[in-house]
Amino acid sequence: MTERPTFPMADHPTPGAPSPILSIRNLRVAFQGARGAWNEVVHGLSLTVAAGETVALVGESGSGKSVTSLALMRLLDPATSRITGQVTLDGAEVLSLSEAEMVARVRGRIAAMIFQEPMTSLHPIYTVGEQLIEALCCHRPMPRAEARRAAVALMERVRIPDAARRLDDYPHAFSGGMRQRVMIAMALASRPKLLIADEPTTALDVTVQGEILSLLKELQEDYGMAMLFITHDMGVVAEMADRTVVMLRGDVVEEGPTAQVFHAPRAPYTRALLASVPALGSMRGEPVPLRFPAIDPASGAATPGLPLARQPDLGTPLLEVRDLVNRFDVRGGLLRRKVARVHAVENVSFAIHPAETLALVGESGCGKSTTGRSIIRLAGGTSSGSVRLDATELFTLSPGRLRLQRREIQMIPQDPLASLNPRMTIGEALVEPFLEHRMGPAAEARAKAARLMDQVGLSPAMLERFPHEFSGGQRQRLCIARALMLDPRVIIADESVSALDVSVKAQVVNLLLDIQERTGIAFLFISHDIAVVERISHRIAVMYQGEIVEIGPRAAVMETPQHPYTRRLIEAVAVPDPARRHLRRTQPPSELMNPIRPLDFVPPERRYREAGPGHFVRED
Amino acid sequence: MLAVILSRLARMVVVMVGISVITFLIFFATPGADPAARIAGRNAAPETVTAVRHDFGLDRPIWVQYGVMMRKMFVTGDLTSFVNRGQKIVPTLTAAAPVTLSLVAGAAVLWMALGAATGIIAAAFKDRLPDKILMGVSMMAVAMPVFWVGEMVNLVTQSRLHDTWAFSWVPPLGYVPLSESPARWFLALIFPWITLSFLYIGLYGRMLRTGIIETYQEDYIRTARAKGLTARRVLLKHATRAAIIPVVIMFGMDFGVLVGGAAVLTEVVFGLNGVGRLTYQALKVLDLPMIMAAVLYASFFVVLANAVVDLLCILIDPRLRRK
Amino acid sequence: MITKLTPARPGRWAATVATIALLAGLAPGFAAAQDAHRGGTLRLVSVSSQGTLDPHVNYTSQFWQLYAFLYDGLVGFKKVGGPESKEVVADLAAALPEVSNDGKTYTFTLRKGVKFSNGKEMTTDDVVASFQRIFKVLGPTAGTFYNGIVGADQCLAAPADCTLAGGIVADKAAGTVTINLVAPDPEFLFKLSAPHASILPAETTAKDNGNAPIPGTGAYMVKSYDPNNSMVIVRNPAFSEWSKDAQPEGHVDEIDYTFGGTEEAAVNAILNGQADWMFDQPPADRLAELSTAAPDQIHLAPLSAWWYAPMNVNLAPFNDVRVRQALNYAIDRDALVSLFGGPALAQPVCQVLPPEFPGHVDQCQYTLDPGDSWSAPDMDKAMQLVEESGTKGEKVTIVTEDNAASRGIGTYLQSVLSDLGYEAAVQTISGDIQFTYIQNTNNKVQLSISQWYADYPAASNFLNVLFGCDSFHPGSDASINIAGFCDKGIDDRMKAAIALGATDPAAADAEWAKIDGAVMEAAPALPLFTPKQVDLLSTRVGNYAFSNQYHWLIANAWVQ
Repeated sequence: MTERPTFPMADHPTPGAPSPILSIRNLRVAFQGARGAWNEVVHGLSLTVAAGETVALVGESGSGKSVTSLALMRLLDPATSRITGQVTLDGAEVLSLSEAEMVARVRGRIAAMIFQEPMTSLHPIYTVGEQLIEALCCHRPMPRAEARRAAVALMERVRIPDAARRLDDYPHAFSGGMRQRVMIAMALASRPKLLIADEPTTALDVTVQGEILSLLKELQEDYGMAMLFITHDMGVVAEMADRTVVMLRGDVVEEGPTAQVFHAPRAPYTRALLASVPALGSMRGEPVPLRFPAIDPASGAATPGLPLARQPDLGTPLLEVRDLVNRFDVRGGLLRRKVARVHAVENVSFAIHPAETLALVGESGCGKSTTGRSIIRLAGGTSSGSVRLDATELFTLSPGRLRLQRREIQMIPQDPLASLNPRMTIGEALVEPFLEHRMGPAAEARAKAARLMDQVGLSPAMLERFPHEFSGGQRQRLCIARALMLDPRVIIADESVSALDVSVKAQVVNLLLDIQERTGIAFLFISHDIAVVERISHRIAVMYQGEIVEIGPRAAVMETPQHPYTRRLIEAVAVPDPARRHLRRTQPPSELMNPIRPLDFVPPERRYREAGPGHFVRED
Repeated sequence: MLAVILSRLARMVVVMVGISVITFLIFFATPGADPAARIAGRNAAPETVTAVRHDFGLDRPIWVQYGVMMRKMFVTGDLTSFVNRGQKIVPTLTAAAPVTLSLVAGAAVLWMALGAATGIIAAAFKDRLPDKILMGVSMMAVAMPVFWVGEMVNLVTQSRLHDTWAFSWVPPLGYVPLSESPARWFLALIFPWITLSFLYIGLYGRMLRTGIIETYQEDYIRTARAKGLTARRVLLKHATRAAIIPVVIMFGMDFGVLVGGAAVLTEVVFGLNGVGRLTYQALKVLDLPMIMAAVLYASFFVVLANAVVDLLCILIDPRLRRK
Repeated sequence: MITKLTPARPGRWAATVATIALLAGLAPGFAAAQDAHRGGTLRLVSVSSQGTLDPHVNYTSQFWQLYAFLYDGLVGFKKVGGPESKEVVADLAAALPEVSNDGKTYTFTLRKGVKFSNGKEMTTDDVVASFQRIFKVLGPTAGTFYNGIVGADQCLAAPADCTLAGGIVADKAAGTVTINLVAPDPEFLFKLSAPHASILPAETTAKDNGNAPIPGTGAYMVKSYDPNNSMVIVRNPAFSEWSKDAQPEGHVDEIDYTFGGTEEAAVNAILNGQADWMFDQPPADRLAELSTAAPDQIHLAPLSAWWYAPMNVNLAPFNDVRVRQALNYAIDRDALVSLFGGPALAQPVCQVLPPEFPGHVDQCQYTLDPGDSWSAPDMDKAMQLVEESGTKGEKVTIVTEDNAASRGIGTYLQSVLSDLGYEAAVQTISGDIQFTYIQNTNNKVQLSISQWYADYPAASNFLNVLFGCDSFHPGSDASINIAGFCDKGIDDRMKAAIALGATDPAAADAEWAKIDGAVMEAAPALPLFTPKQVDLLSTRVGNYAFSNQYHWLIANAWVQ
């Protein structure tokens, strides 16, 4: 599927090779923290990027990769940061230029940047046209009409449909993928020699991510740009980079041609990183969920992960959802009248058995999170249908009984920090629901909290600490411990590992599998990350526009996907293997639609066909 | 658009009716507030008090009195004061309104211009000397009571240094209608404007500075800088425009409240007989009709100002145009 | 005449007292050729105006001061400075009336050729209509000053149909008006001199005319009036002087009265020559500066008034006369004077009638050595009285106005009451509400601080009004006998003294002095001090004269 010949993999960039676009020598970046102390976060980084080359800077959060990119554009606040070393950008000594010269010569001219968050990276109160024209005119003053034409041309170049009309729209009228296209168009405005892309696809849905990556590839070729690609996603690295630089806590631990880094990693950290990466397709032939390999951080040696030893109890379902519907009204005008209705969840039915994991996958806005919240009646809007837990119908329960039943279904949130009260110690946060449900005396609660802390790999001594004293991964473990306090039988994990770093993500997934093996708990695992889903789930349901389009055993759905949307979803996933580059060029952009319908909309009758044992596909 | 205006109007009417009813009830619940005895005068004979009570309709049920008062205010327009007997309320209020409007509008221009300048300059020089000086001065401005500032201004311009070259041009306190002489109108209002705006310059300056500094943390500012815009353009076009929205909202509130009568201290100190002073006097002598009119007038402006601010925000911030 | 004095604060006073006291005697008294001083504009300022312009309704000293030269009654107080200002002279009547029928009939002969400012000549019709109008507009004194006229009771009962038939009899051809009273009233001429008895054109509408000026016979007329802004007074074109004593032709051509601003600003304006006089009292903290910077611009004059603290004789603990006396013994009247701004602004008193007032004889029961004047508090005596009363420890609330002087006095009284063993508290209420609040018995006010300014120079205007049974109306906001004091014996003596005044004024005054003593014996109030008037004038104003009735005689002054 590779259409573009990759750079020769053995082609090491030799020092002094003809004019690299970017050359960084011994870059050190330090920040001034509290009480004026300087804290160095990048320790003497050196690298070069040649014309037309793509170099990936890889690392987990805190590795200093984003700081590096901001430093070489001199976008860090000079009052609180210190940059030393040498950065040469197309002959310009960046670190010795004045701010005015940076503006006049470097930023947006030699080098342009795109960022992780397309939702917030565009100014919300100017039209995209204004922002594009601004980028054009600040480098090359031109008449307004000409600038408009140039802006439309740029938008067409990044394949924004209907560019001329959309020029006067505001960013909020664009989807995430479209906004990232606008960002790219803006970066291209002055035909830069180097494009710095800082996690450009991390916040995007998987199908959109594929489109953006292929667009970047195509543009790089057309414009002859060099690219410095900053990412934590090994799949993206494998897809894009000619050479790869791996960073760990401010140091470069490994550097080399991408194929070499992937296939013959030298540094233990690189090996550990690669071992932790869930690779789509790696579960082929595995009958049951499989733990990630355990890795020794010192040597990077991986001990293969153990498969899940406990089998789902396929007798009576534990949780049975039937014809679940959730809709909410869109109000408009100043009289706040209903003008439309969002069909967030439409006729969703599934069952989960004890000790089973059902994954709900789909892209943002497909209704998977709303489904999760509707089950425990925490979603807004109006819900209907039937949710039975052990033959108890939850939807007809009184609020008091419902509260009791909620104990049996616990949720692990996506953003653990937001769900932990910053003024409560972890101990208090863990004990509170236990006492709230009158499950036993306080002493028992504390003992249980200590035991669970141990189970999720934290020290019981940490119970006295406050949430902000924990790292992201630790907080997610705390949320898991809190959910387990009530001995639930079902846990709804809503994007619970999505925001975590690769290695941490692997550990948390392993933890969830450990818990399931030990307690026989059932998971409803909601995620957009198909590679993780493949590893953890027994069955998979694919959601699209509020409906399940395909549901079945993991192997059946992943290996013989039936519905076109499922296929598209799986194809779009970048695989961490440079040998399996597969992105197609000139893909037409696909925009995900919100399921907003007129008030009188009647959802069509759906039928499902059985493609295999327990494998159902919606007939369209 | 018509629906917008109608729903706004309806809300305004509800607010005003509610406020007027509450005011009315509070008045009649106040001990020692019996209008009849006060109208009748010191040491009036009981017969006189009774006659006055009847004459002013104060012996009728309270809701009838309310209805009569509302009719006199809005339909016949001949509502008269309980204290300045014979003084028609509506013309008095409309005569006082231009004074307050001149004062507040001029001060508003001043405080928006200087407040914006203060905020922008301070943010541009964050933590450096100009910022520290401006923030120090604005802290002072916020801390100083307007009445005291006005008295100090008067002390300097009307008393201590009045006969020096610096302030001999300062006209005597009081208002000169714009229609009478624009030049003298302007001269008479210079110091009241400065005094009234002083606090708000400080307040808005600080608020805008904080807003701009917070906006600098936004991703879109980083985008603007990365695409090669000059620091000045990033500051003025990108950061300030976004940070000005809460300032505009606050401005609307303040403007409405001030036009509605909250500029009373400045009015009194500078002898400007505007709505604020009228309200204050009415409250002091418990002149119910004047209090009612003033309260309704004030609520009208507050609601109006809010509506205008909502509109302005929609103009400034396109995100609000959805739905 | 509910006059509010500027809150005065003690301090920086001692040094200036001597200077100001000296100045008080220096009021320019020299006469000069009138022509030389004629013309010019007098610019007056006041923090606020005082409501309706209708002379039959308005009851404030601020506007009564203006009515002196805007309107005339049949008779009026002499428009001169000094003690003579208490004398009644013929005004629209050619001479003082003939009194007959045992003092019950007054016959006035009208001057001829007097014109209202609208050009119409004044006739007996106007006089009759004006007296009817007093009742028709529900004038504040209709039931207290003019209720003695025959037919007044019907007029009070049905104001709209008021005729005063038999009470006011006019002979248009002869140009005479006869007024018949139900009973002799030695104070009737004073009452006729009040602006409420001004003669207005007969066609004036019989309701409060508010801001619309009513034509008058005075030397000046109101050209425009906006209570929220200003009043412009100009010469009455129809006026020609008939009696310099009754209605002198003024010196200035125009009087501009502006309302607004603060006392502080008014002082500045006068010092800067932007204004000529302020109605309000200058802030006490600027008097020191004024006495050195502008000594010849300040004028001081004692007022026919008192500050007092009525004690509710119907509520514990003040229902015990010993408690009332004890408090009178205990207060340090010098301290009260300094609370008001020092001896330049007030003098201590321990009786009802103010100094130099008819019936006043210096006497003081509540002092260390009782006699003519107050020397020092007698705390021992006070403690002893309180002990005897057995009321120690009871709660007392003092209701004050929300100005500095009233609050200061309240706090002082609180400390004295505490010293006497009471549990005292101060409650402060907005000045304009306080006055009616303390009158109503429903509000159960034990002790309050108030002021009274004389309407006319007669002892009854203090004693009978403030402590007569007729002035006590339980449950009403209009009950000027705030103490609720009604002693049958004293009340009868006051009625008799009023009657005696008709035949033997000197004997009546002597009796009033005794009644003053008797009232103080029963002690329904604490006399606090007699306030003085401070007039601050610009340098260009000449011929200052102070009348007890009208205060500064504006029309007598000149600016050139």
